[in-house]
Order: sequence, then structure tokens, then C-alpha cells
Amino acid sequence: MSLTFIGGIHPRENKNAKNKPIEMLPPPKTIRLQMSQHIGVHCTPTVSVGDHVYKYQCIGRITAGLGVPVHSSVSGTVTEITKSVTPDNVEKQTVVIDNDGLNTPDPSVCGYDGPLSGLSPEQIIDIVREAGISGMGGATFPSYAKINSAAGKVSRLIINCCECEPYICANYRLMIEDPDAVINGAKLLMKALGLRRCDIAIEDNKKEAIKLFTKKLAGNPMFTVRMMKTKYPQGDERQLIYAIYNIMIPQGKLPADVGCVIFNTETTAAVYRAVALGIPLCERIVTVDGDCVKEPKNILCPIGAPLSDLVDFCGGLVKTPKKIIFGGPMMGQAQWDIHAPVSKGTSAALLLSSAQTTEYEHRSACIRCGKCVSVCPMHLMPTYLASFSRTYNFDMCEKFGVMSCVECGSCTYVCPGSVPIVQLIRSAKVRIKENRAKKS
Amino acid sequence: MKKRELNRSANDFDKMLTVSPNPHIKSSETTTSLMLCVIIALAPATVWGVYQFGLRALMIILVSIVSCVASEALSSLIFKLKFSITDLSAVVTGLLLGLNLPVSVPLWMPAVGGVFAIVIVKQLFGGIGKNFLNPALCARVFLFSWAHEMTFFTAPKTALPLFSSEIDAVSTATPLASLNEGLLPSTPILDLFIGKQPGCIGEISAMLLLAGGLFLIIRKVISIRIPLAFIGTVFALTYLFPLGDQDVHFAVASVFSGALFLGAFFMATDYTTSPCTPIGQIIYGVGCGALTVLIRYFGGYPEGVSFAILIMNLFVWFIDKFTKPKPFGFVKPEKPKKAEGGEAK
Amino acid sequence: MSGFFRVIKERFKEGFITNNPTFIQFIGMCPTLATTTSAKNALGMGLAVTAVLAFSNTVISLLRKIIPSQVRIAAFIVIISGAVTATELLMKAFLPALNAALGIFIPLIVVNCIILARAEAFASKNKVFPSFVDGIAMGLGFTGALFLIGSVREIIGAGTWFGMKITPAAYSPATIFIMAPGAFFTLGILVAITNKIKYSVSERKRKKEANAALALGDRAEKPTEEETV
Repeated sequence: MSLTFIGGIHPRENKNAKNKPIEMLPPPKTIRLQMSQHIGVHCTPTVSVGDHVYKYQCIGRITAGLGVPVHSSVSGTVTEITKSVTPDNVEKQTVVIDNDGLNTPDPSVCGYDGPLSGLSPEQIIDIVREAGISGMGGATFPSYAKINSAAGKVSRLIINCCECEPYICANYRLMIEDPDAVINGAKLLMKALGLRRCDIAIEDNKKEAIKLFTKKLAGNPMFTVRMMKTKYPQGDERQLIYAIYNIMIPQGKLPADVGCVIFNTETTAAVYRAVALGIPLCERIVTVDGDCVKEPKNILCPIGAPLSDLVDFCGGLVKTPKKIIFGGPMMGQAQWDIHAPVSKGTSAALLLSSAQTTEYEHRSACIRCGKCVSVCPMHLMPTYLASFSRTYNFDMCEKFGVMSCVECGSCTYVCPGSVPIVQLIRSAKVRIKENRAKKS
Repeated sequence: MKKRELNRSANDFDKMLTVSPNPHIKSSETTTSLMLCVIIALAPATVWGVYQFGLRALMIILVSIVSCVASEALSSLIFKLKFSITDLSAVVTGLLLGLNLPVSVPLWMPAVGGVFAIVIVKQLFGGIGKNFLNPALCARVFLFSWAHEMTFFTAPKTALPLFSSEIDAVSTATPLASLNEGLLPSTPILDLFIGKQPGCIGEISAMLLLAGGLFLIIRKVISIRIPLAFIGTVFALTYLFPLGDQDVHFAVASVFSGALFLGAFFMATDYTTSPCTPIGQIIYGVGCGALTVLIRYFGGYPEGVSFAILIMNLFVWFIDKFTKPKPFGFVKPEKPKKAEGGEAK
Repeated sequence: MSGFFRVIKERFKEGFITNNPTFIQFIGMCPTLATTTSAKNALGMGLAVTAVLAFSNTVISLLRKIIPSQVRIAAFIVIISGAVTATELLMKAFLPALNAALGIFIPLIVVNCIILARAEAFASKNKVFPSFVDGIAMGLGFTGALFLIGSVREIIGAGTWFGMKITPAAYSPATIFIMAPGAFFTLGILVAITNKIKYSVSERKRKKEANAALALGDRAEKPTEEETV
């Protein structure tokens, strides 16, 4: 029986790269490493123009606060340290490295020699921080901070293998091709958190992965494989915990407050690699898909590789894309540059033509059909939130619970009247936060 | 969108990329596709109405649709609203209005009704999605000011002129007239279900309306809650409190007579004027059913469906407000504590 | 003498156009909706209100320095009900048909918002002659509005005007306009039209002033821009 939650939508899966094994990207000529690929303080570069860098060398550190270091994914020479602006209006310092093609690893990098069970939780957390690991599902929260804030508070670890968004198959391929990395990573996380129980949540459209993991973990009392109903947004942490344990996280609280902590599949595998092989987070699997690329693929690419290299590796463009999206089509971010670099949180790159993507009309009309109310996973009433936001009635927005909205986009997806509901809700939330800040 | 300087010389197509917020995909369902489903669902009942009442019925429906579409187009131009006739909602309003009229009405009545329904009930309140009363039902009630024409029902299969208003036929009693006196109607119940009794053009065939309604439910255009609650309540009330010592046949005849199926499946379920919460929809359906029976038993008009739905339309905001779903992980906000000295926060 | 005519002109402009009780101030709605079932009834009602208004405005203005402010509303009501009772008795005697048609709404003139509002806002603060003219002007403005609404309703709803049939025989009158909903429809549409006229007149005036200021070289006042989402 598949576990599920109330609400949600079933967009067409379009997982065209589902059966394509992960391929290694041919070495890119240059990589651009942004100094902020995580939530928290931006890093400052520790190298200067003209320096030679090794693969896996740390090239950016934070001085204080929340954040993780950035490492170079190739060996080569630093040619530029420049500023670039992302489409969400954040200015990030970028280190541009010319690849010398030699892939010389940093000589100080080495794996842990002894048995993994010999490591203490503090040692594991240290390694995770130094390896620059942040959430690779898209949220990019520094993993060491997540472990620190959860240790002692939680009783369950959940490995999120749901991958509920259309097109993306990166986690699925990882689970099929390298399940031991995921399982060992989960064991390391359990050691770091001091837990003995772990759930692996897999959507039921990934039957091979479920079969494989059930076989591998048969008889292991620490792991439970949970089959989840394929629905968007099953991968959202609130819906995941509700579906598995029937516990609702109270408004304004985090999963740790109900005793759970959730990690993405690739993050877990990265933890394993960091501990066992000493490799920091330098490469990730990116699904490149969309009707504009010749051949959709799952590509293992160095972080910082430009998207144009990945597109060329997929056979090049066959159509003019209308939108280039980093992430999934429901919550991903549209890009304005085909040479944008892959970062730690880029799980997919979609190049969609106008046939596969939509633009929202300026003067749309809500017909009050109530479809948004029936799909909202947070049990809100998006139709009223949107109409209150449109008339600047932010008090009523708050009364109707707008701050609980997770901006998953389910409501906007189903709306027959093409109302830009999520965008209206977002602007309402921003105004409410501003008003609150002004008051205090 | 402000233009940004790209870091290097971009290909031409980079300038044509759309950078807009998520989500980037949408389901293919639009207002137009939903309205098309409703039109398809109403088609069997319409065809049957034309078959029973002759081509004049078709004329009335056509005049109604053309009047609605034309008034929406003209009023959009004059009031500078979005030009919206392509979303087919005016066609649906016209069709429903036409189906709610007796076949013997003069042809200017659907025309006037159409203008009233679109301009006054819909456009003057802000266009689609902003009206608080069902436009087709409001127009029908407005047309009751010509009460004689609206209650003149001819028997099915009488020959009627196509355009002229000179109707040379005899008025017959609809099944509701008998039911309101506590008698079973003269038409057998199976014929009531198939649709061989006199009445308005679209309301006679419960069977075809039910088929259309089921089509809409299966296509997920409407939910089963409102029709089930509505029809169920009417059946329950007429079964528990029949007029004149009748048994279950009275209840069954009540359910198949009049405009109940048309109202329950197509008028009460109109998106804009029905609640959007599940419990709210059930309350709304029960309220409509109760009011229908009340008006049929105690009111001056034989048919209560139109008025019942219009009255419940007025309560939709309150129903929505009180059946608001509890947000996920709802935490009751703390009441501000009164500090010493009576100073409230 | 010119002051005399100036007062009259000012008051009449206010009563008919800029501060019309029905279309601009939205007061006295109850008799507006109820008694406009025909042009004759509307006219009768309007003139009765005008008479009462003129009388009460004058008397209240005469007594304005004497009535203490704490009991002024009670005092106004006493004066107004005196006038209304007199009017009612006169109508019963000389216009029984109109009296029967207007029914309860004649005694209800006592609580007609217009009379109390003008007493409070104008008569209690101004001299006798302006108050008297104000009463006449507001009353006639009200009468004009009522007459317009009553005529529209009677023509559409009964096909007659002042009892004379003016629509062609083929026209089947829409009786809903004689009933309560028709009152709301007619009033609503007329108010929409008058609002549109008021808005476009004020827009034109504002644009003219802005252009004039620009021509003189001053910085014209830009209208406040609404925030866009």
C-alpha cells in the first residue's frame, strides 16, 4: 500500500531519462564556482587570480556564521574572480578556473582508513562540514548544521528518494547504480545523529529502486523501505512526514521539532564519499531533459560546469528553448543564460520550448472552481489568498493562513483560469514580512 | 523585467528566453475546456427537448445563446473588460437559460433574458468569476415578470410556429401541479424519468440529465457532493413528509419532476456561485434541497428549484468562511494576555 | 441684491448637481425605492418632502441660537413631525388618491434622512434665507431624482407615463420594474451613469488644471500612482 497525503497533483512524469545510465561529462574547458551555493553566509575566495588549484582543493571559506566551504572540481588555473548576478537577484562572487585537463587531485585529500563504525559523531560532522556538503535536493541547507540541530532531538532519519518533480531522474539512477553509497551514507548519518532507525522513502513509480533496496535491506532491522504514492509534492518534508507517520508539523516549526530529520539521496551518498574517500562535494548528477535537447541524459558533471557543455553532450539543441530551468518545472528557477554554471543544488537542467512550458496571462480570471482548494497540500484556500493579495488585503491573507504556504505551485498548476496564484501569494508574504519588520 | 548585461556575448536566442517565477508548467485544463465539457453534458437533454417540443425549442436556445454572447462581447467593449467570449461561459449561460424556458415563450424573451443575465448579473459585478448569483437562474426569475408566458406549458409533440408569438395551443398542467396537490402525476414514473411530460425545454428528461451529470463527475468537472446532497435531501424530505398520504412513489415522482435534475447537476454546481470547500458543498446542497421542498409545499410558485438555488447563492461566502479547512499543522493563535493594569496587547 | 441671487444659485447647484441627495449623498433611499412605482407618485412624494424640508429648515434656522446642542436632534424631530403631520392632514383632505398611493411613506417623512441631514448640516448653522433656499433646492433635487427613477420604472414596467400609455401595443411591459427588484436595478444603473458623468467631469477639470499649471511653468501635481503588483 502506498503511503500518501491529502491534496497534491499528478503532472505528467516525462521522466525521459529514467532508463539512461549516468554518464560522465567530458571535462569542461572552464568552470565557474559561485561562492554561495548554500543557504547562509557567502564564502570568500581563498585563492587569487593566477593561482594553480588542484582538484578537490578548497577555494572559498566562510569566516563566521552558517555556511560550508567551496572546493574546485577540476585542476587548473584561476583566471578571474568576478561578480555575477543570478536570476533571483543575488550577486555572487564567482571564481573562474581554466581546466588544465590533468585532474590532479589535491595531495592532502585522503579517505578514512579504518572501519566506518570507528568514527565518532563529532568526527563525522567535521568531515561533512569540511567537505562542503549542503542539501543537494535543491534546498542547499548546510548538512552539518542540520545534523547539529537535530542531534539529540530526533528519533528518526528519513532518506528522501521521492523525486516527485517531472523530468528529474538523478536520484533514481543513483539509487539503482550505486545503492551502497546511499545505504552507507545513511548509516553514517545515523551514527552522527545517534539513531538506530532509518526510513527510505521511494515513490512507487521507481519500482526497480524499491525492489533493489528491499532486497538489499531485507532482514536489516535498522532500515525500512517506505513506498510512497507518486504525487507532487510528495518530496516536501511536511508531506513526507505526514504520509509516513501521520504527524503534522505545526505551523512555523521544523521537522526536528517532531522528531524527524530528512536528507536527500545524493546528499547521503556525498556524505559517504566524503568520509570513506575523503572527496569533498565537487560533482553531482544532473538530469538534462526537455524537448529542446536531442537526447535527454543523466550526467555526472563537475560542479561549476557551464550548462552549454551539458547540452552539447546531450547532442545539442534541436529547438529554440523558451525557458531554461535549473531544477524541476514546478519549483525550479528560470535562467537567462545558457552558459550558467551547475551548482550544488542543481538536480536538473530543463530546456523547454513553448510547447512544454506556459506563460501566465496578465489579466487572468478566477472562476472560483475550487480546484486549487482540493489540491493544496497545506489545506489552505489559494483562491481567496490570491484575490485578497490582488486587492492588497493582507490582513485577510494572514487570517487565511498565507504564511503556511510552501509555494509548491500545485494550485497554480491546476488553475483553469491561469491565475498566477503562487506569485500573488509570494508578494503577499513579502509585504506581510515587511509590515511585521516595520512594526517591531 | 529589467534587462541585465549578460556576462559574455550571448547567442541570439538567449534574448528570447522567458525568465518568470515558478511553476513553469500548467495542466492543460482551461476555462474553455471545462465549459466545453458542460456543453457536451447538456447536449443529450437539449436534443431530447428539441425532439419533444419541435424546432421552436431550438430557435429559443439559439436566440438565448446568441443574445448572451453578443451582450458579453458588447459589454466587454463598452465597460473595457477583458474580451472573454472565447471562454465559452456566455454560451453555457445562454444554453442553460434557453433550457429553463417553456417552448411557447415569445422569442424576444430569451433575448431580453440573455442581456439581463450577462450584462447585469455578470458584467456589472466584474465579469466571470465575480458574480454572486447564477446568471441563467437570475434571468429566468427576471423573466417571471411576464408570468403568463413563463407558466404556459404546452404538451410535448404539439406543432408550434417557429418564429411567431401567436401560440394556438392549450396549456397543460405539469406533473408538479399534481404533486403540489398531494396526488401522483398522471404521467407514469418511468415516463417522467425518460422525459415525456410537459415542462421547460431542458428539464424534462431526468435520465439524459443524469447521464450528462455523470459525465461531468467522471471528467472531474464537478464533484458529486452538491447533486447528491441536493437530490438526496429532496428525496428524503418528500419521502418523510409527503403531501396527501402518499408513499415512496410520491418521493420518486417529486425527484423526477420539475427542474430538479437540471438544477442539481448544472445550475447549483456553477463554480462561481457554489462553495469551494467539501463540507461547504454538502451544506449548500442540503440547503438547496430543503428550500426547494419548502417552496414547493408552501410557496406560491409550483417550482422551487430556481429560488432555492438563488437563496443559497447568497450564503456561499458565509458557508466558505465557516467551513474553511484547517491549515496543515494549524496552531491556535494565543490570545493576547491582559497585563496588570488592564493593558491589552 | 447680488448676494441674494448668489445664494439661490449656489444652493440650487448643490441641491441638483454637486450634492444631489439621491445620486451623490445617497440619503433618503427608502422612499426613493418604495414610492417611485410611477411618475405621479414619485412627483407627489418629492413635492411633499420639499414642502416639509423648506418649512423645517426655516424654523430650525430661526431657532438655531436657542436650541441647546444636547437636545437638538429631539428638537428637530419635534419640528419636523409637526410639519409632516400638517402635510399629511392636508394631503388626506385635498389629495386623497395620492395619499392612498403613498400610504405609510408620508408619516415616514419624519425620519427621512434628508430632512434631518439638512437640518443638522446646514439649517442649524446658517441664516434663515439660505436655509430656506437650501430646503427648496435639496427638496427639488430629490424630487427630480425621484421623478427620473419613477418615470423610468413606469415606462418600462407598465408602459405608461402619468397613466397615459406611451409604448406600442406589441410591447409587453416588464412588471418586475414596478416591483421591488426593479427599483434597485433602476437606481443602480442611474447611479452608475451619474457616477461616470461625475468622474469624467472631474477628470476633465483636473486635466485642464494640470495643463494650465504646466503652461505657466509650475510643476504640475502628478496624480498619485497606485502600486502595481
